[in-house]
Amino acid sequence: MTTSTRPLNIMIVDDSTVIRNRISRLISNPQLPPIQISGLAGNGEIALLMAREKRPDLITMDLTMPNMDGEACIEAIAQFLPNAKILVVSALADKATALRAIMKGAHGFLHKPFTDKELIDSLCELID
Amino acid sequence: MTSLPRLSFGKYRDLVLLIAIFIFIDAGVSVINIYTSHQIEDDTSRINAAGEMRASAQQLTKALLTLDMEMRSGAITQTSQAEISGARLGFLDAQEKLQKKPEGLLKRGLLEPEALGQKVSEQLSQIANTWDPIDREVSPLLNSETLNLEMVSSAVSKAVTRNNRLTQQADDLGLMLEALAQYKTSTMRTIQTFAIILAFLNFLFIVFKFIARLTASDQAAAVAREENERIMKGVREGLFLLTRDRTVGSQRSASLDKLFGEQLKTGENFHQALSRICSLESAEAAENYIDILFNRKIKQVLLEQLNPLKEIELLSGTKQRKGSTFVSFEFDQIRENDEVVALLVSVFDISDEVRLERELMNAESRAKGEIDLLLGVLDHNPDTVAEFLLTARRNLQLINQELQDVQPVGQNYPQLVNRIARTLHGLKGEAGTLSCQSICQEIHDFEELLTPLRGRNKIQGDDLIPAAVALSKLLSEVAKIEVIVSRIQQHVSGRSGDQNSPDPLWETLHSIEKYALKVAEDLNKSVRFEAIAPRLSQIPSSIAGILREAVPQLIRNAIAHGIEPSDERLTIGKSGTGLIRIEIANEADGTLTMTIHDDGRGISASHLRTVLVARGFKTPEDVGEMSDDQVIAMLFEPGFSSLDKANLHAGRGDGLSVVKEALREFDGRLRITSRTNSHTRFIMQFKPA
Repeated sequence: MTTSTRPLNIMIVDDSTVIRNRISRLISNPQLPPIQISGLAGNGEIALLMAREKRPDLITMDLTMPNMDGEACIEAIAQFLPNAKILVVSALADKATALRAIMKGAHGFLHKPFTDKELIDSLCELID
Repeated sequence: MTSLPRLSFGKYRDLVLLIAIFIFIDAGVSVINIYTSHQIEDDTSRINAAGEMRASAQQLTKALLTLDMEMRSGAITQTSQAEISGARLGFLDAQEKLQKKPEGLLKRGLLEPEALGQKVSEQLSQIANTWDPIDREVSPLLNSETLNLEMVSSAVSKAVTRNNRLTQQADDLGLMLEALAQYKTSTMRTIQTFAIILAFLNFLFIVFKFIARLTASDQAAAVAREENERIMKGVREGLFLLTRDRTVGSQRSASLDKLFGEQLKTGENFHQALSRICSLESAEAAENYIDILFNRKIKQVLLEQLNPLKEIELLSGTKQRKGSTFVSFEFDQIRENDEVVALLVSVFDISDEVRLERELMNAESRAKGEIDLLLGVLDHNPDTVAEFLLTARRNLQLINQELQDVQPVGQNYPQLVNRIARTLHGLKGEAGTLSCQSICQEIHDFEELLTPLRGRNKIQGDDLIPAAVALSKLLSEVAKIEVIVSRIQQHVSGRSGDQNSPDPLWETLHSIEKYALKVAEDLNKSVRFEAIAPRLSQIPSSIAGILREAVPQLIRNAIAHGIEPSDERLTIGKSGTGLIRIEIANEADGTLTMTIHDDGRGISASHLRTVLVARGFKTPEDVGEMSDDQVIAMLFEPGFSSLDKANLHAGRGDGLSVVKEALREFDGRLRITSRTNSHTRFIMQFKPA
């Protein structure tokens, strides 16, 4: 989707520090193009402010978070960053939730708990 | 849409060309017609001019003769002179008309043969030759001042001698012109006829072409329609097109009607139809999914994962057949110019697959259940299990008899329901201690069924039908286990004889321990079990009965109500694991004492008061007047439970009433001691046998 000269910027949104750290660690996987972290957010509100400032190319987004939930956050970000690719990473496993998130502007969906390979594959598909 | 006109022009190009030729020929014929009418007009006026010329010549001769006579008689009149002048001007006028050379191709006469035209010109010049000498004589006569008889006589002789010739020449000219006109007219008619024939042939050709093309396309359409019909009739999937405005298309496979009948009509809004066909959640999710299919670019893999109609159960009424119908909807995007214009929807009936899958799962869990049962039974003395099964079968058969005999009078039905509930609850406890999980589960389901009936004053006979069904299921489960146990019994007795049999009391206590641990596990609690008992060669029948019927209830009660969850225990400084202890003691006076002790939260009389009021057992005034002992005694009333929700182990309120019955049966006495947050003890005493 882009020439490989500039690394992609990713923003990781999740209220769990464990998940944030895990995703941060996995994005340096050699299967993925160069990605650098432009922001980590623990709730939707911070994510929204950060997205305005950093304008990331990729976002991983939890759905159930304090202050502003993921769905509202996706909807808001999709308004001003239409080209940002958003991967929903959520424990909410039903299709209806996934469909709603996609309707709001997400591009992919990954269920928690996920394996390293699943996350990397999902990110690959998102970037591809 | 945009490519349609260009496409049809290409298809009809030769037709359009033919029509253009037809119009061109028509226009040609029209031009010839106009030209012909002009020619006829022109020719008529020339023929008239020739006539005029003849008439004028005669008139002139006549006027000259009159003037001559008048001159000779000396009575000249202006009239003759005027007539001469008029006749002369008439002749000159006609001559001018005829001599005037037509201008251009059209005027000259396109169809005029050169020879005939030449002849007319020659004739005109002969006429001029004849006329000129007359005119030279006549012109001076028009001036009356110089007029004399000699001049007149000379003019008369000229006119008379030449008049005949002139008349003849004018007649000849007229005939020539007529011939010319006739020639032209016939030529023109030939051309017109030819053009009309041409146009007609062209028209016929157009009609032929048009019909041929229509027939060909009709045939092609008919063949396509027939093929389409065959496909739609033969294809196993339900097929239809879904348009962008979410309408069901008109082309549909016969299988679709078989699946949905009137529920999914052509031209109908798909979402409306779906909300009739399947659950509301599925229909709503499908609405979002279809929006995404039409409007978003999402990876195919993800789209397939997201399909909420991959396996849905049709609401009943959609199709009449045995069991539920499961279908799978698949959507293929149809793109034109990179835009999704419609979805090809394929519907598969996957009922058989789903049913098979479920049957497999059921069979698996049944097999697992049977193995568990076998292993469970092997842990116990087969004789004990067999005895329990026998009792259970007798009790259940008794209930069955009562269900058949009961008369719908007074409170018979409600009383029977309560009786059944108590029997079941007792059996459940025993089944639990003997690891007969399948019986426990059947009883639990049976109890669920009875719960709504309890507390109702009016119960109809029909309300008890499900109970009879559940009862027969339970009986068949008992019978099944009886078969297994009797086989095990045969093996055991054949193998070991009876010389090394363990202490029966301790064996029973061990069963109770296993039961306690199982209940604790199911309720997510941590429990330690202790037993203190003397060695007995034989269990007194009272203790055996109580151990079988009352103790399981009390244990269950202690774990469900008494023992707190581990985290709660830790916060109040207790050990995380709760304690359940059974003590059996022979007193000096020969009485037997059995104590069930737990170190849980104790019985709170004030909490029980609240519950009694909340459940409507007592009014606030009643509980105010009751002593703590009286309140606690309410625990032993049928139907009373302090738990909000029933589970497999507690909450239905029959446990302690079963204990009360058992104690009554074995003539025992019960004492309860309890301290909040410390312990509860149930102490039972029995007279020596």
